[in-house]
Amino acid sequence: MLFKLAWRNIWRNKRRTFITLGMIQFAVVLATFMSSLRYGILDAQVENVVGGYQGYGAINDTSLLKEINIDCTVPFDDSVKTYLQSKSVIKAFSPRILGVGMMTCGEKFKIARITGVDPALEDSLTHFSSSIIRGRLMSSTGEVVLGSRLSKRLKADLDSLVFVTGMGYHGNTANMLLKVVGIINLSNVEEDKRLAFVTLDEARQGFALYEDVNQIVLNFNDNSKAGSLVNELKHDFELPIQIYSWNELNESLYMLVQVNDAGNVIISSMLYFVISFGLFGTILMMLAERKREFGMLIAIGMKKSKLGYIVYLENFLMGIIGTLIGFSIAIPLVYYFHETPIGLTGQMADDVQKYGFEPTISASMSFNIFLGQALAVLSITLIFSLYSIIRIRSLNAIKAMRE
Amino acid sequence: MNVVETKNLEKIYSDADMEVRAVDGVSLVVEEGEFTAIVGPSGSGKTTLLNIIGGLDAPNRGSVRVASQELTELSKSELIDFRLNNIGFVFQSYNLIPVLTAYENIEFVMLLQNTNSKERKKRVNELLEAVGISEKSKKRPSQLSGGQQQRVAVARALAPKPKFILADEPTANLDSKSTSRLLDIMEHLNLKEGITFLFSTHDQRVIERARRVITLTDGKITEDKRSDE
Repeated sequence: MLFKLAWRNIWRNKRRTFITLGMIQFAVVLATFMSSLRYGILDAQVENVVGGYQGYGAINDTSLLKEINIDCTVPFDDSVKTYLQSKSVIKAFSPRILGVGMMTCGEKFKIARITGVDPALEDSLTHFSSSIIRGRLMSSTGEVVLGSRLSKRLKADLDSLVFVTGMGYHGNTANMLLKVVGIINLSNVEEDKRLAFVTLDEARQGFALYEDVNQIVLNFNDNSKAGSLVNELKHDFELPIQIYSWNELNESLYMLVQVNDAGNVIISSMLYFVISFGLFGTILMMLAERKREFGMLIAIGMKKSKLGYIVYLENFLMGIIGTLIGFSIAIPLVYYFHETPIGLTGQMADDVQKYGFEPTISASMSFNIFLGQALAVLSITLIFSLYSIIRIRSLNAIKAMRE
Repeated sequence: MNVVETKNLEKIYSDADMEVRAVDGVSLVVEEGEFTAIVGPSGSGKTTLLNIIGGLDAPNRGSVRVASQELTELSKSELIDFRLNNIGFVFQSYNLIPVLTAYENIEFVMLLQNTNSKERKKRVNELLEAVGISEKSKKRPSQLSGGQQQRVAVARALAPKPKFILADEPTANLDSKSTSRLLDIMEHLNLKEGITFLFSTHDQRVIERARRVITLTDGKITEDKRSDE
């Protein structure tokens, strides 16, 4: 009966209820959509930068965090492989030799990052074979795969010969003559401009790094928990070798994520601040309108706590209904922009690409965004509803019935 | 048996400039089965006296015993429970719950008492029958006339089986036909069921039916007349 009473009370003033529900659902739609876009943009960039090349974790020398240096090495022997394979949280790993050198093709030249990888292990980690737009992956020494923008810069194509000269391990001179066997399109634009892949053996010979590697890149079964998983593994290593999560390896991107989170909180807070006033107004109107009725209910023997519960239940139901209506609009909207990313053009696209990001905006379908907004709206509704309980507690039945 | 017993009741309303003695030394006994009207001009203290007897207001001085319970000794929370189980209220403007049907309005107070559903159903139907409104049981207050609403209010007041009914100007908003019908029902309940009624009223039609009339002037009882006297 109390639920029935609360439910019917919601609909006794339909116009007021519809205005309140409209306000709640508008806030839910707007806040959810904006959060989805903001997180969608960032998720895509993290996936581009981290998933596409960097990896969600890595084992390397601490010094490598400051700058890429061929002399900063980690062992990659059977015991390391056994260790990595024994950890069930690690989904894939790929050893890399990270060299830097001047790459020349005919009269064109560019500083390039020559990355030595085991093609099979690297493919299990980054699926880079799916990004090959011409040719194939390198399979033996003397072969190289170039980033598409790097190949354009060098005017190199399949079967072109490129020459690399640079600094090898412990001051050795690195010299490599390589045949282009593939062109890869890396979604991270900055990486696409400078990356070249060779086999691990080619890099060992070229940079004179015959035993160790510079980095072992990792992916986890649940990359969203990379930070905590890495923390659990840290005690297995001794400095200067350490395991790092993507946010430690790429602090600037992590800062961007943090700034985005903060921005999201500020914008959502402003939206919720506005609806809070609306809700408060509704509660005040309802209390004034039903004061006489509340007085009568107390007079005939209804406990104030029970009366407060009914009013609280009414507000809770309105919060739930408003949120559900909001989601019924927000979910298809977010889904559409998740499936159909907005393409950026012109100067905006150029600016975004400068930071190594793809020039598209897509919405995130993360469950946490929907859950977060639902909890925020419900919390606001329930917090403001406490005011009605306070007012009912202090209600004088006689005075209320006189009004 | 005394249902209501007050001794030297005083209720004073005061502000910075003046003091009003709404109830001034009222000593009163209402016995079981009475059909009593408290009359007097506006501002004579009728409603204040009824509010004190009903446990809605507290006196500044004196004692008020209802069904052998001294109300001034009860906390606010205990008073709410006491009202629920011992006093039935009928208000001038009906004060039914607008979103509930006639049936549900009557049933509601028994729900507050945690009465089981079988007993609730039986009693609500009996009461609807007693106030002659069974066919309107599924109507909401807005679909009922003033007289019908007041009959539902009487049934609601009787639902928790109270010791007596307090009715504050119950016919003030009713036409003569509805007033007559309501009074017939209340009189019948009083005579046949032994239910005690205590009214405050201006209405001559109610006064004529009352078997005891207490006149209040400036907060004091100036006349207490029984119809058999």
